[in-house]
Amino acid sequence: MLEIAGLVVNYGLVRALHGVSLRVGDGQAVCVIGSNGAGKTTLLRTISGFLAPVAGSITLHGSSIVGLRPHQIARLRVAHVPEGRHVFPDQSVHDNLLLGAFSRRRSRAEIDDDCESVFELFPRLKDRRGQLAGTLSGGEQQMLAIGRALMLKPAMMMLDEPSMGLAPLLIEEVFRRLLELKRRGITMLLVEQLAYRALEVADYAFVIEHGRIELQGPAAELQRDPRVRAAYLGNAAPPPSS
Amino acid sequence: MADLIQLILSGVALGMIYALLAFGYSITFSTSRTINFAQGEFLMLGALTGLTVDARLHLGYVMAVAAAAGVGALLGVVLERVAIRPALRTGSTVAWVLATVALGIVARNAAERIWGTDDSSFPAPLGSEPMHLGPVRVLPQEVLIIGVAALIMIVVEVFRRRSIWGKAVTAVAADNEAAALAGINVPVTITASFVISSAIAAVSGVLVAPLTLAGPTMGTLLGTKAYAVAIVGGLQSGIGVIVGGLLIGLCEQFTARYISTGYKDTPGFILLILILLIKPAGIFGKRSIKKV
Amino acid sequence: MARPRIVLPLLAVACCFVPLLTGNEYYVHSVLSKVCVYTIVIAGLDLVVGYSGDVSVGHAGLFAAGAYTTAILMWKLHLPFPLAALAGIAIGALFGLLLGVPALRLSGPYLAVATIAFGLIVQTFVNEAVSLTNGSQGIRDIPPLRYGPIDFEGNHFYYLVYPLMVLSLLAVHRLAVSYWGRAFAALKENAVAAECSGISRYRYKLGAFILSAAFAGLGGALFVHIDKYIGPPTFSEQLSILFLIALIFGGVRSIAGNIIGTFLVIVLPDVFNAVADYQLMIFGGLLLFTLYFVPQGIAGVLQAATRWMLRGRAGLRGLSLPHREPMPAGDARLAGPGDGAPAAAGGNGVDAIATRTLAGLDPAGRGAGLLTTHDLTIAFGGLVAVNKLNLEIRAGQVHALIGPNGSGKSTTVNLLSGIYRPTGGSIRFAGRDLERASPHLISRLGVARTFQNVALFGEMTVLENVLVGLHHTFKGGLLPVLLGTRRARREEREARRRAQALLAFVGLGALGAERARSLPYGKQRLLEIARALAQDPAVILLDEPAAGLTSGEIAAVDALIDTLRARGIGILLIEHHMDLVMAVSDEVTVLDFGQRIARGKPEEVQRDERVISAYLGTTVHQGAAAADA
Repeated sequence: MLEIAGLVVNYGLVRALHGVSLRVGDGQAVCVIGSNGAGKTTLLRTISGFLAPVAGSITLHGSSIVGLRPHQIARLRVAHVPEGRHVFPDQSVHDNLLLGAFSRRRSRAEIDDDCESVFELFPRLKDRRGQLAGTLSGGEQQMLAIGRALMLKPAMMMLDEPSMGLAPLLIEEVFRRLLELKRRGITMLLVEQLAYRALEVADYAFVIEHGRIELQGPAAELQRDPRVRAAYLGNAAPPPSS
Repeated sequence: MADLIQLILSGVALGMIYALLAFGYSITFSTSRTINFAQGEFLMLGALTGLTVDARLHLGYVMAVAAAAGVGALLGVVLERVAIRPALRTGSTVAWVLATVALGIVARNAAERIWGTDDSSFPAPLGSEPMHLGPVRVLPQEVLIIGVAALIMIVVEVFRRRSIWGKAVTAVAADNEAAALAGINVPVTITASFVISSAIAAVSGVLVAPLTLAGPTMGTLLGTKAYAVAIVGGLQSGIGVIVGGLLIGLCEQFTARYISTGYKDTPGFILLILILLIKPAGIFGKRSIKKV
Repeated sequence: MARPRIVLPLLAVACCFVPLLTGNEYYVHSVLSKVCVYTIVIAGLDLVVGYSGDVSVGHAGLFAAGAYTTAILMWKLHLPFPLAALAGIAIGALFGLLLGVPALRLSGPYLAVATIAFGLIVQTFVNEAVSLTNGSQGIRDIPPLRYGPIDFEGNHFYYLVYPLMVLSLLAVHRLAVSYWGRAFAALKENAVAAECSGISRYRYKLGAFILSAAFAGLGGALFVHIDKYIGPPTFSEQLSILFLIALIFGGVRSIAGNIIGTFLVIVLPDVFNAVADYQLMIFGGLLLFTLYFVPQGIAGVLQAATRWMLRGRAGLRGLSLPHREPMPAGDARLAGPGDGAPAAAGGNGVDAIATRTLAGLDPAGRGAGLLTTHDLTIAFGGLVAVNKLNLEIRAGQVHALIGPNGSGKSTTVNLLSGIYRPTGGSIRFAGRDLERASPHLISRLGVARTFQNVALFGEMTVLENVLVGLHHTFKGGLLPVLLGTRRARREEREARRRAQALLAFVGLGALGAERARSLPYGKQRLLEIARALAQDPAVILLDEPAAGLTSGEIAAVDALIDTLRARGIGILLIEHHMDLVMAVSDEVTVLDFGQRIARGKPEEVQRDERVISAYLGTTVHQGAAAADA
């Protein structure tokens, strides 16, 4: 579905991505993991059209999306749940969801149905449907952001660090939902700092370090690979022999 | 007592005009973080357009309002394209302040060329005889202003809160990247906010003209006082704008009556500077924390 | 190049004699004198708009303050002009203070509106306070400027205003190329970085405003004598806008620009007499055109044209029109060793590093706590970003602060540097509590920092960036700068010497004259460190200094940190490059959700289960994490 080849992106004066290539197949859940500053957010922002690549290609269903504006890419049903959630704080939960469906040709009934299925997935949001989104807790906002993205009826969903700023129990809950979404067959590109969490959800994984893909493979294999940990915490001395 | 009520009513009417203009400011400020320093001139152009349609072409007051709204909408597009968008690209505040000021200057000169430099009187649609509500005498135009202004602001607010496009505008104002990710065309939304703001300004011109005179210089002071209203009330708050408008309108009328007409504008400006000293976000404004 | 330095003053003196060429009273007096008087105002306005970057649409009010003060004192009290003019300047400055204090707390549109309101208040007052100002009639009976044999009436008025204009332009120029000018430029480009380098935003912006008002007051005082009449209609918002137009047309931050812009704005209406009815429209259109297509103004265009014409003629600096650029550091004597590894300790400036630590802050020697926090907490609304953090930065030691994204590291640095105010707990440094201290005070006390996204002053040269860090060494004040005293020049020379030595220390010795934004990223980071060192800190907070660097550049940073540590400076290092952290730190604190979850030696922390879990998330495959072999 999504194919990226040789992507080179500058962030100001710094080269953030040095020729990144990856693929997300239909129905696949792919994760991109790596430590902070590795280039993960830059990657998603480039796909979404906020940054222009210096070189390389991004194709969706075979056609290039480089140069399209963010709202145009969203209208191609690529949903992006941004880092830090970015719900609309002064509008209600329900309004946030309605806005997620803004670009779809829709009937009122259809939209309401979609809202209901989001509430089914996130019962906590249903209880708070009239509440202003800015007053929700971090975890609830994350679920709202995902729900808003789902209202786009996306062909592909990209999530940028859904765990950020969330307490461990809430991270647990959010990732359970992501597993549910994967079960429903939604194509996902998940960018995460918490490598092991991401590897539990994904089918395939890319490890990015300093703007380059250093490692890739089926998630199950990478879960056992010590190089993943080294990418975050540096090369540790071997533990004292026991 | 009747005297007092009359004074209050005319203060409220004047305040509603200020509130309308300030309402326009808050719309564009929320979506683009800019204020139109030519808003007063847009009011003036609306008034003069209305004058032509009503007094010269004899098409009636309602047509005058409609024509003014149309002209205002057009001006909004021109403003956004010629003054705001290029200025925002340069990134400096000086740029859009001066650009909108420049547009105002051009507008005023154009008005002088088209309609002449003299002020004309604008026929009051409901007659210029004061109405009698009990012991109180009030000009029908003042009542009309209060009613129409309230109506406009209510309609726009309802639209903003209820319709999906209105919600989209609020979303753009809050977070334009997240709005784009939801598929909202942000640049078009910003242009739309300028269209609405300018149309409202033009219509206020047609509303206020029968009370004073219509001429190329009528808008400047009104536009300036409306900034004071917007800032005192809170640049991003609908209620704030109305409260600010009423406050300053009343201040003005009372000062004119009990102190001196010359100084009538001063309390409003002093109030402005006080608010800037104490709570720059305005009475109903929200503080925001800037993250580094 | 001696040539331009003689030509320009000669030109300036020559222009003094222009009236002798033309006996025509109208032309000389009316136009030239008016140009001189207005240029004084515009030069002052340039300080606020061009240098400080603030919009003032109320300078007509300050102009009016000076004019009316002078007129009233001369007309009613028959004071001689010099006294009345001084009063005009003083009142103008006072009004500048009254307006500046509230207005400068704001930015952008709020400031603009405040100045408009001010202008209107002044105009109203002038119109209404009839007993003082004669109201709408204006003041007519201005005594002549004749003192015995000296006569400044008519044509001779030019001989008074022209030198004053030259002096005003010179004063603004002196200011612009001094540490004041650098402070303005720094505040305009990145106010936060400027504050953290020791410059008080409020004080300097207010200073610019008051000075600007003083110039406007002087202009007003002189304006009185042009037509021998002043009245309220003159001092309208339109005049304020006219001032701005003259400034922008001519070109900000340029002596020639100030003169040319004023000249055009005064002369064009006469030239365009045929189209006088469209004059405003033309002005408006020209203003828009200038803003978008010629932002550097006419002076900028002329300068570019001059450069283009003189291209290829090596060595001929040419008569490029005076532009108030601070002097480039092209003096060969100040060039340091070639860039590369940091220079060995040598040269005056380098010994100046860590004087604070060595001198007295740390009598107990290496290891004593310099900057400590106790239960430091900050909450944004409901979110607790930093929770009861206890941290100790010691002299001569590197303390690393690590943790996953969003764990509160940058927030902590912002707390320590005064950008955020804690909601709980305390910060102590050198026996003082810093919780309420402003960033520029913290810098002055001896805590310097770098920024995660390099916060340089890109438009200034490399040397000037370091000079901003040396702001605290300029003790002379405003007057020495304006007068160009020996002390002021000495301070500038000393600072440049120290700056050059600091550049050599970090390995940028040969790059002093380059524009900071043109440096490659790695060198930009080194420059930021040099600027931090210029503040003579006892403690440095390094926020992700290795981000975006190649391994060679990281090695240079590593070496630099080692050298600083050896000199007894305490360092707080925020980093994600674990290899650098492990190599260089004495102690590591790990944050997660704003709380400390681990502390200790680098190797211990690296193996700590909680740390691994915080970074990577808990894993079902615990065995995998242990399979390090």
